[in-house]
Amino acid sequence: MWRTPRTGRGPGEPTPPCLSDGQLELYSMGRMAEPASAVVEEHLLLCSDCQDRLNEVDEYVALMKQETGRLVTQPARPRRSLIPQLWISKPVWAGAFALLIATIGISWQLAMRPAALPVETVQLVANRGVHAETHAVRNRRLTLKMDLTELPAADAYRVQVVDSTGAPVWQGTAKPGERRLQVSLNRKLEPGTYWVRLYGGDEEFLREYGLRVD
Amino acid sequence: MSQSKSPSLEAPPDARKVSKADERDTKANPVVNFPELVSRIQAGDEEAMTELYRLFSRGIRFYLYRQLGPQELDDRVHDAFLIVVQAIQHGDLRDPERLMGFVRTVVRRQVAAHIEKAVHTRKEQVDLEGGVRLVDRSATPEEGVMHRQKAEIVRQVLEGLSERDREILTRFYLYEQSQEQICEQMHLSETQFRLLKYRAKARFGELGKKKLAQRSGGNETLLRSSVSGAH
Repeated sequence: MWRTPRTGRGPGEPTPPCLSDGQLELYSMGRMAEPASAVVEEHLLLCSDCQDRLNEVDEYVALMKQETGRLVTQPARPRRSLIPQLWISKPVWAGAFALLIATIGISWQLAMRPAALPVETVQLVANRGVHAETHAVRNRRLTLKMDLTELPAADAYRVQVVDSTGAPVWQGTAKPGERRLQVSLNRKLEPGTYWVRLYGGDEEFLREYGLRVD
Repeated sequence: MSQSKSPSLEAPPDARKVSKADERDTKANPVVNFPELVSRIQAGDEEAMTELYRLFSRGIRFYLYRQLGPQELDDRVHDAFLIVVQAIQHGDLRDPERLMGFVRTVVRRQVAAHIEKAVHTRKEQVDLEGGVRLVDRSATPEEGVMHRQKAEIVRQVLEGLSERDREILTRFYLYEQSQEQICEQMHLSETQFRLLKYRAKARFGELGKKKLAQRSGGNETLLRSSVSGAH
């Protein structure tokens, strides 16, 4: 392949750099005046690489001129897309997207509120042993039922729910009905192990039930 | 590539061809000392003249082909070479290091002289012969197909751009507005403008290469030589 010969000042002189695409493009379009065009033409006298590149640029410029001219007289074909093109400005798209995200977030929060959760009734059973737990499903509003048989009678009972570390997570009082006590928790219990403690009159500790939320 | 020939038509010579002998000689002697070459020519060294011809013939041919077309190209290259050698031998080249500039001046004057002669001939003379010899510069069928393919690629590139980007390129290539004018009117920086042109050209190169990969055959060389890609 022809290499650009070095000019005759002596060995070690750097080879003149080849022309940039910008230079070639302006020269190709006839928009380069002296003395810039002199530099280009003198380089082209010797450099076959740049001659070849100029031929490519000539062709590209001619094609661009032809096709942009065609588009001026004929509108461009619509871009191929699976999604129908809606001529909406970018800020409107951004706003609509933000609104969508906010709506999803708010809806999710609302859905997770206890009042909005489906209710599950759990019959607590006081069994002894390793697996002495009643199971409940997460994301439910729990109604706990306890059997008061063999327990001292009282006008009202206090119920406390503690987590596995003993920290209280809920408490409330309820009046018994036909030897049964029923309390509805007004908060959602996260998955884990809980203990439901039953207190009678004078805060007498009566019974503890195990509850596992899965 | 086949070219049609008939009594009234001349096949346009390919100005890009260089003989293998020229390539080999150039590779063997890539460093040129212009002052030394000029002094050898002034001394009548025929080898120096041969070297000068090999150095510049392709570039002179390239320039004259672009300006005047293929007609009588060999004669014009030869004439330009003779003018340069005679000027060197007569001492008209005062600065040997400016040999390239001198050669450029010679070929530019040759182009100007030809145009002036052609204008004068058209004004003052009437061709008495019934027929006219014209050089057929139209593309061969193969070149025609290649051109249509490339035009389709450019069309795809343009249609893949936003309307604003298309307008910028239309202003530059079709309406030939300057970069400064386009940037001012469309509120672009120089970098944004150059980046757009670069991306369009790169996309043209990508699509061209894809087409090359899809098709095979003798067209590959022609298409490959025209697909440049990135800056």
